[in-house]
Amino acid sequence: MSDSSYEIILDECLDAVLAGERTISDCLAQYPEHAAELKPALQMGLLVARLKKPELDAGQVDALEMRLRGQMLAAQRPAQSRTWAAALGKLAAMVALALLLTLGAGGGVVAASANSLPGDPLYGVKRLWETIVLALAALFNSGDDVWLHLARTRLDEAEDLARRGLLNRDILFDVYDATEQAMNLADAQTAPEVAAFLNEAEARLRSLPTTAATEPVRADLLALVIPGPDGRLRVPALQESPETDSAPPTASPTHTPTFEPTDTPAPTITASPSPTATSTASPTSRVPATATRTPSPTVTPTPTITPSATPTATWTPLPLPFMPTQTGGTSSSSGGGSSSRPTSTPVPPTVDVTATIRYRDTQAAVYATQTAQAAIETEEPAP
Amino acid sequence: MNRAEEQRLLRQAQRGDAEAFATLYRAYVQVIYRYVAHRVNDSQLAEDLTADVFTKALQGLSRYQDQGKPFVAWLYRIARARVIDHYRRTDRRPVESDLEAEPLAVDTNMDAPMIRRQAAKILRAAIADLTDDQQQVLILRFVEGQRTEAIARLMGKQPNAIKALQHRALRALASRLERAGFDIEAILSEIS
Repeated sequence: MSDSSYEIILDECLDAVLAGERTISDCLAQYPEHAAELKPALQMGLLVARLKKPELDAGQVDALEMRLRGQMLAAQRPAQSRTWAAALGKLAAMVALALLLTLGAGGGVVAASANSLPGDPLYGVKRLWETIVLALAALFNSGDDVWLHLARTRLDEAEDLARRGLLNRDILFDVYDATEQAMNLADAQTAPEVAAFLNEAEARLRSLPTTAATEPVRADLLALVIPGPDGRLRVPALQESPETDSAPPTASPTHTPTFEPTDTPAPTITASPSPTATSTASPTSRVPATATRTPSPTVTPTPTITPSATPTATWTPLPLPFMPTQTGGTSSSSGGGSSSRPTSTPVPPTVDVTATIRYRDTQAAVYATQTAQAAIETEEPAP
Repeated sequence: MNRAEEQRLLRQAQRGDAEAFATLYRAYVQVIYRYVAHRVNDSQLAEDLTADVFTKALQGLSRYQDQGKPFVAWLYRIARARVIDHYRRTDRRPVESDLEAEPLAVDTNMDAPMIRRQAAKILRAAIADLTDDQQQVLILRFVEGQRTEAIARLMGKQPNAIKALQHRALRALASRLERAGFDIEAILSEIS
């Protein structure tokens, strides 16, 4: 019997065993010729099904929801102040920045560095210039265009290095970062350009000769540009049955105990120490300020966070930290500058959403609020 | 939430309706958290990455096009990309090295809860050692209780490919636990 036949039998038995309709022994008796292989597989299936299922607690769920609502609100505000002048202003800024990037300041060292590659003496100058242009872009809310340009440039450099047999992980990391930034920052104006670049990048990446060291990064890059959950959706057309019920998958069909001690009525050790590193999410300490969760000392709601009554309950849109992307000031962290990122695992220069989410410091939150609100005044409207 | 309701909420959310997005978020946040938590084996990191997933989803919502797949499929893809990105940035898969450091044998002095805990730990580490696709299949199948056809839709693959992934993943896990010296049968009989 072929592998695929066995896989079908295994799947059928797993369905039955997980649903409690049959036991493992039943399945082994039904398919004795596969018993040796079926048994450990079914046992593993059962064990995995009984691993403890981690959950976020209600406070964590609420806190994140508040942040998301705040971000939606922040994204909507500038739309109300959209003007053609602003759009034209941005267009002009885009052109100017593109010229700056490609031509440098009109000559001299910067212009000479334009075609340099990692490892060349002038490459640091090139990256420094990019950092400056990114900072300027923040003023014109044109970070998206600049990052797109930088993504192209990094990809060009990667290809040039590959031709010389010098392709390395660092440059691919840089391609990844710049591409991701371009995708994150794309707005209605730049989205088509970004999409076109992603298409082009996919083809170019596929033809990039890689080594064992660089292949994993290229694979990540392909994963970024192909499924593109951040920038666009290129989901293959679906050929599915009509019942596309997207209800959130619930727990396994049968209610079974997990095999980790905390969930089992184990008599002895389970009680107090329970050092389960695998335990569910940490309780509350990492949850940002919600008036109902006082114990955490780091999240004391200060007056700046509109200490209105019960913010969690009422969903008042708190001015929580905004996404850096919203401010257009992403470049303020000087993203592309290689001089500041010598390691092989460069930190994403700007839009580190995770960092934003991790943001816990109240004072810093106040600062973020101020800068975000200031940015809103000049922000390009959402499409 | 049925498909029609989901599509309605998506349209509203794309028009900037925070309530609609919040409803979608509430429907899927635990599913995504469980997925991420199983992938990274670190509850705090999982919380951050989950937050990241929904922030990214919010950012990309205006460009999201419903092509017939459940919304959660898109969220899974973002989550998967976030996990991969996390490991790329940290340049390691921590669990692998933890696994190496783990004494891969059962101490006969361990009591039953400790053995179960140890087995769970090694099992999680072994899951983390699988390919991304294999891990996703196992999580959807055994943690979320999805059937093969549904997993195929969510992952954009054929059901046969899912069955093959499942087969290879389970075989790899069994071999890992066996090498670690666990009596799987004993553990199973104890928790049954």
